[in-house]
Amino acid sequence: MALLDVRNLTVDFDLGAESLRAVDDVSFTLEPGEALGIVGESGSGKTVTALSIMRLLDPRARITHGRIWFDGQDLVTQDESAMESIRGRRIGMVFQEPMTSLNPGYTVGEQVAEVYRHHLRLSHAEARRRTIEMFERVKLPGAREMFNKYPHEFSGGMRQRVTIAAALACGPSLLIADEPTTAVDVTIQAQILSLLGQLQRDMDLALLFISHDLAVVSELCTRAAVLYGARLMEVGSTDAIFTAPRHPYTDGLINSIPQRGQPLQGVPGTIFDLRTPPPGCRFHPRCAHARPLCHRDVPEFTRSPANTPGERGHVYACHYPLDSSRG
Amino acid sequence: MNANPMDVASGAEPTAAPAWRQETLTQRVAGFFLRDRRAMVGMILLVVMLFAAFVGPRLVPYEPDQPNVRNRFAAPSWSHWMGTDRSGRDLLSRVLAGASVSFRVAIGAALLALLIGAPLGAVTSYIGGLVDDVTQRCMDAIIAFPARLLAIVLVVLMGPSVVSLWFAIAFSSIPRYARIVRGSVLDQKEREYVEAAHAIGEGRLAILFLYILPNVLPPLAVQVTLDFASAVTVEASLSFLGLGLVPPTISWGGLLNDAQQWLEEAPWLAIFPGAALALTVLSFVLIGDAIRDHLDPRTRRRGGTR
Amino acid sequence: MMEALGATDSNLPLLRVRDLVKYFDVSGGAFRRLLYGRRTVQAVDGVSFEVARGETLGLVGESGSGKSTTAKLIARLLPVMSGDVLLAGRDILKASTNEMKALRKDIQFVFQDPFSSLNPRMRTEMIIGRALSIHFGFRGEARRERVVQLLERVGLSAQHLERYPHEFSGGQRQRIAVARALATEPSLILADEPVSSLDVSIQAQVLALLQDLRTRLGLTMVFITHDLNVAEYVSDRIAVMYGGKIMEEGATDDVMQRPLHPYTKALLDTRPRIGHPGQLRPLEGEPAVPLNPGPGCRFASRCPLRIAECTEQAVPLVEKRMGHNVACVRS
Repeated sequence: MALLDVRNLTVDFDLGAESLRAVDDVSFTLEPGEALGIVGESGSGKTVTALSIMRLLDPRARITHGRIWFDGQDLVTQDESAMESIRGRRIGMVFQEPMTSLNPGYTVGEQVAEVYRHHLRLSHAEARRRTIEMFERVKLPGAREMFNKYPHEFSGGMRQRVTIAAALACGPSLLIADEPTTAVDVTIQAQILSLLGQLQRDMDLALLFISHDLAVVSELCTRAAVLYGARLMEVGSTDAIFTAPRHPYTDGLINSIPQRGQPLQGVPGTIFDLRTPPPGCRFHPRCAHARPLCHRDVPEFTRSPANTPGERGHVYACHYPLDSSRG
Repeated sequence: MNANPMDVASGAEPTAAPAWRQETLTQRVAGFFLRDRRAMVGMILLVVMLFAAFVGPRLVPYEPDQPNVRNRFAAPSWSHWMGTDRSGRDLLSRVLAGASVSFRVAIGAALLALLIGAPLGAVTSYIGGLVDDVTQRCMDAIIAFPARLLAIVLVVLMGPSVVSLWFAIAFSSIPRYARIVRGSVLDQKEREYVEAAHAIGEGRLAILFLYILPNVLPPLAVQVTLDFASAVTVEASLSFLGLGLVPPTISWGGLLNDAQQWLEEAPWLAIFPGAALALTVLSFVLIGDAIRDHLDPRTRRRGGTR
Repeated sequence: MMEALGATDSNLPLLRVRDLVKYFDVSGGAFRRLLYGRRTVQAVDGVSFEVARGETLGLVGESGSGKSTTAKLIARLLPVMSGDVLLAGRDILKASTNEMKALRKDIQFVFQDPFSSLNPRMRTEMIIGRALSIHFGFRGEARRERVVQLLERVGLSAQHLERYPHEFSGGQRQRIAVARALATEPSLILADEPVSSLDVSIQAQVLALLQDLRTRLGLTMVFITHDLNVAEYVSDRIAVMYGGKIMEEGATDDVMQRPLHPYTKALLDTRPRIGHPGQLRPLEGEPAVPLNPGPGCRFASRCPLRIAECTEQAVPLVEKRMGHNVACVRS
């Protein structure tokens, strides 16, 4: 059974006079120990999807349809106190900007130890011991001395390690990482990616990795979901998605990565205003393959036949998918 | 890229153009006063008070200094709307005369503080370094002093006159202007569009007037409005204490001072000047608050207050 | 171009930067400096390079490498401590205010963040038109026509003239910034991470636009980026900076395929690539801020090949292969 099964998730934002749908009928599953990348640009709904799972949405947002099955429980119907015992304990989350989840007034050690005391009711001494252990695990140099330092004494990369330590302290089965390497330098990004990969294997962790960067997702994840304008475009193994994409948007994203000596195609146009989504396929105004049907009907999800037995499906929402045998 | 849930709105931003942005400046200002009830009430009040102060004295039949011993302490009536004082002088005429003095002092003091404080903040933040450091510490010292006490000391040193009141009242608000301008200029100087202006070859003056100033003016406008309010009360309290304008100059503070001896016999002598003072302060505060909320993106709501 | 007779002139590099130095005082105000002593970041420390006419030099580095500061020094947006910047033989840093106005016309800048590089209170026509008024004295209808031409050149149109920056998307704003830079008909464009703040698909559009303009207008460019893919795509030559110094410099293919400096190698190894998972070899440590650094190689503290010599003496940039320079004692 899937660890996480998001079904038809729909999130609406109430902006006073108007409203917009930030996530529209998004479904995907995540098996235990699996790494799924959610790929998308601004306004794709990837962050809102992650926050819906944590039930940490902006007060103006509401889950209007759908289910989020986590380990047999529907997170959509849990009350706040039930969510509190799930967050941090069974689902950890890491954000893009580590300072937003660290309190500048406490030492980083106290903050992580607090997670142990709160969720696992450990004694001070035990919490401290486990915190230092966790710091070693995330490869903070000199873990023992780090315990008594304040967040501002750390570089961005080190802070991100601290927030990873806090998120994994109670041994959750799922880690949600929202663009954890976007704010750091390339060499630090590589450190954090390889750390996350290692922790995922060692702790048998399911990873939901949110990013705008295809290469990063390809590095860390075995499966990927591509979002555009609040809707799911394509889900499948990273291998299938990045080498033989069926959806033109995914193809456009791949072609947006500059390659020396090759003309850069990219995707023409800009994303629509979420308050006035286009009819039919959301991507049709920017799609080179769009035909009248695309303007009219929302494409159903199609499952491409599995090439090898046991392969999980490659699913895409497109009336005129690209040929899978290319390249 | 999708850092927080707010990004949903910014993802939707590209083609979203709030309609009011395309109006002309006059339409926008008019629209602001029509939409925000506070601003509208404040503006009406202010217009009434200004009219009373500068046109009113010509409309009333009595001279403010004209005594009438046979009609002392007359209660408000049709012939004397606000009654008369201990010498039988018409209180309405005196309140109106006081209004023009109040406005002259308040506007003068606020503008003086603006004219000294704003350039001071601009210049020191532009020079930076030790000059800026020392000026800032001096500003701190002024702020550390109670404003009214400072005004009292200055007015005692300079003697009572409208001009010395300007300086006395302005002095303690200079640091506020200096800080607002300094903060804004430092903020603007760091903005890339100012750097970009240098890059296309804009001269220093053009950068100041086309790029920096338009972005510094709004917070200054708020401060000036709120300063009018405080200057009115400081002037009144100085005159009340007998330190400000002394007779024969008429001021609301002076009227209130006179009135306190006859509170039981002739309460109208305190009520009317007090009400005039309160309404004037209220009008400025309402307008200032509304402008501030309007300029603060956190409280701004399209289509009025919430 | 009519200047064909100046054959020697066109053989000369358009931009020549020699021993550029910029230190920042980070003591934190006069009082702190008295109390704690002077702390300086040697943001740019002896940077030299040349850019030929029509060439694009990619300046690559992480935060604190001094790549942006270098660009701002060249454009005289920051005062230089020492060094020379020669544009077609004219010394920019010694130019008077009047000469500088003319030089500004020749050097234009494109900033990283199009949300902050455009004045929020100016309409598009004014943003682009100011440059035309300053340098060519364009006014009124003539100016408007020219602005429309520039807008069309970057893929926008006359309907965008009256709009304010906030009414555009990030990609459109960056197009406006590019149009503003093109307005003065510059010979050199300094682009400071011009696509880093844009969405992936928009990034590609703007990069393609810049490439197209470059070939059509024969622009010379210094392109600053932290993204090796982008640098590889746009540059004829690449200079890799670290801690205020150039570590390696050479033709793009040489640097990307036969890197000589351990830092360049590390950068290439830390680049995630589609379809090649599991090949990351992270570099330990953090990018160093050159705060009161020692005499040796700035990269020594993170370098896997470090020997004692690395930290003891200055490491000059020397030519190891033809047109391929490196600053490393181990190479």
